[in-house]
Amino acid sequence: MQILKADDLQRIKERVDLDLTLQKGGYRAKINFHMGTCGIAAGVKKLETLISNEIEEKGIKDIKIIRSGCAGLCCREPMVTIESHELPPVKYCDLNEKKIREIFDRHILNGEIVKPYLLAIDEEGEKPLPSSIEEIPKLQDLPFFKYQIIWALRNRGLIDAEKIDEAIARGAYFALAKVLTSMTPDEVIEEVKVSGLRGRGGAGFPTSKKWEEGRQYPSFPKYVICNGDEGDPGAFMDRSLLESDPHAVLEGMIICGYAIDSHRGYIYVRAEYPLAIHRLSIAIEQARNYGLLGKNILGSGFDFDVSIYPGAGAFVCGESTALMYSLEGKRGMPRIKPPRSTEAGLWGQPTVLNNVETFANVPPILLKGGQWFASLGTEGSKGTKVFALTGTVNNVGLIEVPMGTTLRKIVYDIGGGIPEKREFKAVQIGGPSGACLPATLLDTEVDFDSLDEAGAMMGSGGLVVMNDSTCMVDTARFFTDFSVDESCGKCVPCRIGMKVMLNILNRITLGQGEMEDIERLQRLGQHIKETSHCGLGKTAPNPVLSTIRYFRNEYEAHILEKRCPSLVCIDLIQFRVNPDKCKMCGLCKKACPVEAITWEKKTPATINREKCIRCRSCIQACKFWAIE
Amino acid sequence: MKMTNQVKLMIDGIEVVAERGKTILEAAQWAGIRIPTLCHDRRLVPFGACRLCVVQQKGKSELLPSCFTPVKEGMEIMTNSPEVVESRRLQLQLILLNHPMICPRCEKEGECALQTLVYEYGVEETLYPWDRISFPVDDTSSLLQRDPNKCILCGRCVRICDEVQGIGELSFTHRGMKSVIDTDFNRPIHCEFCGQCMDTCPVGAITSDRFDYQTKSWELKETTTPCPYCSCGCVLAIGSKEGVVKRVFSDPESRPNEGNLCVKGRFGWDFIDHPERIKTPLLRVNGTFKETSWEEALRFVADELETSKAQYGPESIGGMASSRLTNEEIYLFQKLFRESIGTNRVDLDDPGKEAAEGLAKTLGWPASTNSIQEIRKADCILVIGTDPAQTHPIIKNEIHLAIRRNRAQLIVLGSYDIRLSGSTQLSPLLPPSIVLLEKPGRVVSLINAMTQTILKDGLEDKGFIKERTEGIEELREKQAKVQVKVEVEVGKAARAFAQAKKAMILIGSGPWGLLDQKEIVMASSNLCLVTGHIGKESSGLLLLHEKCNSQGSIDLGTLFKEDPDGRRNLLKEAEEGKLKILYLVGRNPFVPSLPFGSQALEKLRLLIVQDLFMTETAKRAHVVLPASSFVEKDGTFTNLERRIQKLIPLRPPLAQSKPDFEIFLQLLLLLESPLPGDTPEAVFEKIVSLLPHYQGVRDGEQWPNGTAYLYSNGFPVGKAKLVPLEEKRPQAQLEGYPFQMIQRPSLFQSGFLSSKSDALNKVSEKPYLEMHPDDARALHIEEGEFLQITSRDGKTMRMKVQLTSRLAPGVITAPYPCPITVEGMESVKVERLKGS
Repeated sequence: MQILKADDLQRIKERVDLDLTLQKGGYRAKINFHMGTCGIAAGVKKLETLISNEIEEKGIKDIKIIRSGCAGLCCREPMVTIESHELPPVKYCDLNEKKIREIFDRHILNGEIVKPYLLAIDEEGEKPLPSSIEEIPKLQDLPFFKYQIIWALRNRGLIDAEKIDEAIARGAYFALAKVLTSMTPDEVIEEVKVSGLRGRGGAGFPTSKKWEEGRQYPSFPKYVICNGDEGDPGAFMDRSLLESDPHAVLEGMIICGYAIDSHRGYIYVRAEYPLAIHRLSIAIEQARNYGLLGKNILGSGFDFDVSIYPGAGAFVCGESTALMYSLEGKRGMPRIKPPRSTEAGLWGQPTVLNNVETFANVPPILLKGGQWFASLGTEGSKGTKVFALTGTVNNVGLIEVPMGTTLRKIVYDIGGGIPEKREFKAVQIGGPSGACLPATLLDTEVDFDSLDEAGAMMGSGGLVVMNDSTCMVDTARFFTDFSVDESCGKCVPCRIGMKVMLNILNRITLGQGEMEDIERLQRLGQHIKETSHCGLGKTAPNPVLSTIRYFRNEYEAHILEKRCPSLVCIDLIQFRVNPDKCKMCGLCKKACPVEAITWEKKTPATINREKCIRCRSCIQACKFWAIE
Repeated sequence: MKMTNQVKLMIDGIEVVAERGKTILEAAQWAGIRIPTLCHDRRLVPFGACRLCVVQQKGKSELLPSCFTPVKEGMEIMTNSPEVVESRRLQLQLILLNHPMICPRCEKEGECALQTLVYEYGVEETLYPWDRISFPVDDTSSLLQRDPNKCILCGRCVRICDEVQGIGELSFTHRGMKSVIDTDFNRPIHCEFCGQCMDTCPVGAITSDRFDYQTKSWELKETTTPCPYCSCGCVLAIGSKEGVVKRVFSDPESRPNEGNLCVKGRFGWDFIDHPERIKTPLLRVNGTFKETSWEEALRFVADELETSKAQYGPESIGGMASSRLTNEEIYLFQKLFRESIGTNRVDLDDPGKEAAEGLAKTLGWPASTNSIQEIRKADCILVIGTDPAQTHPIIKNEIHLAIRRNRAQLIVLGSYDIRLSGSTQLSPLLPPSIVLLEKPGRVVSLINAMTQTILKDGLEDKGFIKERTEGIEELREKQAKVQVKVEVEVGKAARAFAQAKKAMILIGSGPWGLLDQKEIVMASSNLCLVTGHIGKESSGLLLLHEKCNSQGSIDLGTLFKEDPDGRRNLLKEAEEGKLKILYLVGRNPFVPSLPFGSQALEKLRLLIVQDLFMTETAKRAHVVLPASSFVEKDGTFTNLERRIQKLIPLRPPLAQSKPDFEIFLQLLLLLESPLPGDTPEAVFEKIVSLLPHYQGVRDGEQWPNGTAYLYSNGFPVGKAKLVPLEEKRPQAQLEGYPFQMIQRPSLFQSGFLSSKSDALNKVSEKPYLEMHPDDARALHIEEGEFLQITSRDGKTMRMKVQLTSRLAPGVITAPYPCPITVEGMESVKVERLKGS
């Protein structure tokens, strides 16, 4: 155990930089395995073991293996980044055992780029690109990376989260050192205020204001809580951030503690994020050993420590007061406000609770100044925002863009558009609290206020892209179902009202709806928004209300024509081949698992509806919307 | 401009001034404007679940839940705008979707808050698609049944059980529409059975089989009268139909209990209709009882009294009365014995008298200094020698509130720890309870040690001591340093007590109280005086007396000339042959398992028993006079906080029974004595004329003059007295009898009345001994084993044992009533029973 002083950080940085710089006598090459949950799910662990064993068997000493987090482009995992003496970092993707062996032999051992498996080359190094490979794609030219500005994700895929030295080498804890040695708590809050940082958890409450409130109440102890209870379907920003750069979050929390005079922090993470918890625990342990957590941090006299609290998996525990109840060992249930948590939160004491991403944004703000942060973004929303881009889009992954970037840019440039020649239909933003925005709103800029205007919500940052095979009534039903299940059950409108909405949606998708149902949904939705207790209930009708607002025709088709235009609601599908549209390709026959389709060359297919189990395989297989 | 604490706002066009921090709902209620609620209960922290209390601000569309939105200056609130009414109607429609419409067979019909609102808002059937979600009904629990189908999840039961009772038997389980209020793992209810959950339930989701299908709510006649059990004096709202009690609720406005009741108050009343109630006077003729008329019985008694008085002198007659009698009855009883007969052999069942007298000596009044509801505002509470959760459950609630809301420091001092000390584990910020355990007989030393520490460390209130007390020098000198085992804890406790803003001491009294009660109380008085914790709100001492009129009995006892022989033990005197006639009112000393029996009975010429039941003692009497129960008589009780409360009879006496008042009156007439008055009211007037502090006190107020806490303007004794004290008797450790056994109070059983309550018997736990695990280990005793306990005089008992470290080593507790520990404590030996 080595207790650090502020100057020691620079020394560690220099040592690690030196160690990791490829040079004569040092490492010949670095292989960086991107081992986030996404990469591990895609099988990167096996590849890493394979190469490690290989290196060991061959007795190679001058190849360094780095186990970092997700590099962002989750859909192309397993992914590795290789840097060698001769070449700048090169990213390979969609790997398997055969490919990694080949890359090992050709690239690592022979310094040759293996083009077929290549994603791109990162020219941001100091080494010039060899002229012979100029035609290969540069990382910075790929649209997925080109439009991103990674501030919160600044260390993604670059450092081993289980090695604090690597984080320090990338600048971790320098902001903390600056804060503890040269800034007063008021100055810290002022800097955050200048930055215009707003909470990344969904509602966008100004962070500095929360901290000011937390500071102003003279009741001790005070608490800092990091909300990592990410529960929106399709969202994984917090997980990825905690897995790849836990120190960014810890540093933000310590700074917050200093600003509000708190000495105790809790990180509430979903128990479903074991890797995040694992890496976070290691990070906390290492930070403690360096004296970056605990008593007398960096010799400044300031004490702060952090514990992890794994949540038991209730969506509602993402609501701040419910989260605090959960932390206290009680049932996660939102409580009344006032008092605000900043006045009486955890165990009735002043508590500042921020989202994972919010805390990760704090250190660079303090290091580079609030002005620097405020230089990006829009009038009311500064800096960048991390989104989990998923759904029917070519590039699925974790992205970070300046506030004010349009949805179009995100979907078509960064996301690479819609695969399989399908049409864009909507983008769902903000999870079960958010809305489905149609193509006409693709030019909406993503910031807190514009999204609010469009009837959506930033939420914590889930972006689900939907193509024309998505039924909007069914989508609304899906999110409503989620909210019904996850309602804590406390207040009447959310508990019962949402269930009524679900029942109405169910009957519409069954073809039993009536036109009055649309009005009923709107009326109930409005009522639930107006009278629900917490943020969850107040926003739970959003998916329904937004789909009625932008896709009313689909509701009408379901009700009036008893037809699901996207062929999703199976009770409204006839499962009949329209011979006029059928191109007689036979794909549907191949897809059918129960042999209900008869087809011969040059004849339209037919479906035996007695055998058909309505599994929609044929619909998904048919490129020509020939099945009705 | 000065920041005022008042906020002015308009509600429905009426200007309302409210305290800052109050809610819109509170302001409206204060102004007499009704806002509908389902989940609100003024005893509880607002919850905001039903969303019916929404109101609107003029010119704004937003709906504000009024139950927790604070008032703001200049607000213009509309409680009934069209939007508000529409929102409420929709809310009710939603609630009704899953609510079973079985109102005609629901016991809540007629007083159901949901039913009332549905009617008021004209809620009609909706066209919403709905499949009813149903839940299993819990009818496996005693006394309380739960039907989650009727439940509207307002959480009032959960919250009252947690926030007020400190039990947490019920909680929300599952999520969304599957949310249901349940016990752990859906087991039958096993708790204090206070029924608070049922009381606060706005619908019929929690009910009692004691009331089910008995009658409809509107047929009930409601009578408010004080509870006949402990000395808290909770106000019961008894619902009866044609003289038959059906249920007990309580009004949240009532004092001291704020609508809270314990199991005895709520369910323990059923003894009044027990078949074993005595219905006619009985005379023993040739060894067997013969029913007789009141005339004959009373004539007989009067003749016997006169004869004995003439032949053997008035001192040959003794009388023992229960402190469950009313003030008026106790007065007449004394009149009868002390004046008409002229004997001093009178026992008023007032074991707390000495304690009270101790206070009278040091402070001025022989009574508790403060009120029950002040406990919740104290920030340090010292509980001495009792477990309020068992003896005075409403006080347990108060302590719990102080811990919960005020982060009060709890100090437990005595021979055993109490469960309440665990409630400080609710949050890491609550100060952990300080537990000072010693063998019985060491309490005075422990209190003295606290006082000494305070004086030694200079934590005393010097100004207060100088101005308002005398005897500090003597206290410092004479009270030499006391040796206690738990010195570190004593230091902690002393500091906590001295440094608290408001500190209270609660002292147990009665059969489960400790030895040396007078000394304990005076030592506690010293502690309050040196720290200045007296004469202020939430600062002082409460004596937790045993019975409903213990304080009245103490007060009335002061009315007559003091007995020159001091305190008497009439039973012993009977044994010694000094008594020819013994007249027992509501007393039952001749239980076969108790030591006084045959010997005393043989020596008595006549035993008269006046009671509700054929007790063991009554069975051995020569004359038995049937008395009336508390719902059949007039009069007043005085509770432990000096509150004088009027009993309201709800029916005529059962069968031929008579109120004790009537019986005494008749006897006085027969003995040709002057009557102080022939109605309880007239006798109360007489009492008031004799007891100046009872003057000008209205029903439900505290003496003197409705004072909540005494001594705010000085002490009647001039300066309060600091008196050095020592333990009365040194602990005699008897060879061969290494354990000290004390009685442990029980929530469900507190004497003969409770033993005749079917409801209480249903939920009473099986009796067991408690022993410290270290002691058990030394004797190779295991949990659940049967033990035989033998006292010095050879009495034995057998019982199962439970091991607990909540006990001082060397101490064994037995449930009350314990046949061995007659005077609170007994040295005993313990043997294992072979083969157990």
